[in-house]
Amino acid sequence: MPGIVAGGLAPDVSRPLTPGLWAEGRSAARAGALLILELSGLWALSRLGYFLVAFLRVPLPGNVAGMLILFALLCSGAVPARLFERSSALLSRHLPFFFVPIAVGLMDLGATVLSEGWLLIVLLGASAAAGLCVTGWIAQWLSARKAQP
Amino acid sequence: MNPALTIWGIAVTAGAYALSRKVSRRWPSPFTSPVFFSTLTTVLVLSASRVRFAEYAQAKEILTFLLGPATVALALPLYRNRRLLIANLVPALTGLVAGALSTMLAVVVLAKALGFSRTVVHSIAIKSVTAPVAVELVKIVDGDATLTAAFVIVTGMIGVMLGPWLLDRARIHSPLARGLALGTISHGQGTAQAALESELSGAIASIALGIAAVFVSIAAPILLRYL
Repeated sequence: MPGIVAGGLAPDVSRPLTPGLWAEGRSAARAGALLILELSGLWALSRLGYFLVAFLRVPLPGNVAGMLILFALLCSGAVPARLFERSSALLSRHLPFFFVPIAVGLMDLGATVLSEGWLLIVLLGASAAAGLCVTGWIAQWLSARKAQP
Repeated sequence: MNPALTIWGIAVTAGAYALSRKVSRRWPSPFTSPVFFSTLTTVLVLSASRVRFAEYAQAKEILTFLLGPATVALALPLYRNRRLLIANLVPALTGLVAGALSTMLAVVVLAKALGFSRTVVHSIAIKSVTAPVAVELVKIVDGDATLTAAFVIVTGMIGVMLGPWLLDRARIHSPLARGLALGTISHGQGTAQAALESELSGAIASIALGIAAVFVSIAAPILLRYL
């Protein structure tokens, strides 16, 4: 960080740009390397999850198992949360990007589903409405009851 | 596999996504949400350039590589907001379980009653689960990944469009209950909507999204066996 500030704020005419660019490049490379390390860690946990569910024959998606493993590691204090700060922010912000390619498969399904599309949308709307109300009512009712002595 | 087509597929998807980020900031709406807008744009551009989905498969493999790590990273918001969860453990967990079960039962019963195929029923059952988990869970419940992806996206959009209005009409005003409902039913997009309402709503929604994903992953395969 200080490298960027020094290089950026002190334009040295005798040696134009080079030191600033060098420091900037180095700090960017460092951030990139850390990000790749973090992502590799998350990837390894995900693979571990897939391995465990296959090994133990649990009908659970491997990536969910990986998430539970990381949660347990965080709670036990074995792994500090800041270790995955960069990568988790990046992944959650750009989650749609990694997911869009699967939805693109609709271009092949097209006709079969689209003919009944409106009906499916009604189904999704009705069931979402039921779920929203049930979740909200129960949570609101139980927390209000808890608040009263 | 044709490498040029693969590069083209990746470029189109990345371009559509970059465009959707700009468009959704300029004109915020469920129809400009990155996941809907980039899917539509990618499909249109690929169709126009006469690329078939089979030729896009390689690009899809490469682009979805980070879905596993992205799911694992969901543990972080869960961990950061754990005190909020513990303080509201009974209302939050009861509401979440009841809501996740009722939306799943409702959609499965309705879809069966209307005579949809087994594949459609099994794909639609898990539509409230966050996308990266849904596309893995669909393999266990034997549905179709693309159908599930579409159902998940539409459910997210419905939550954003219908959710706040419906919760008002149902007199659900507690920020905790609203966040929980939006996160449980409309996953990522619902969580983003809840975060707009209040910080508490957003935090509880991000917890709900993670726990609902775990709960439905366990419950859906069992339930679908008996339904």
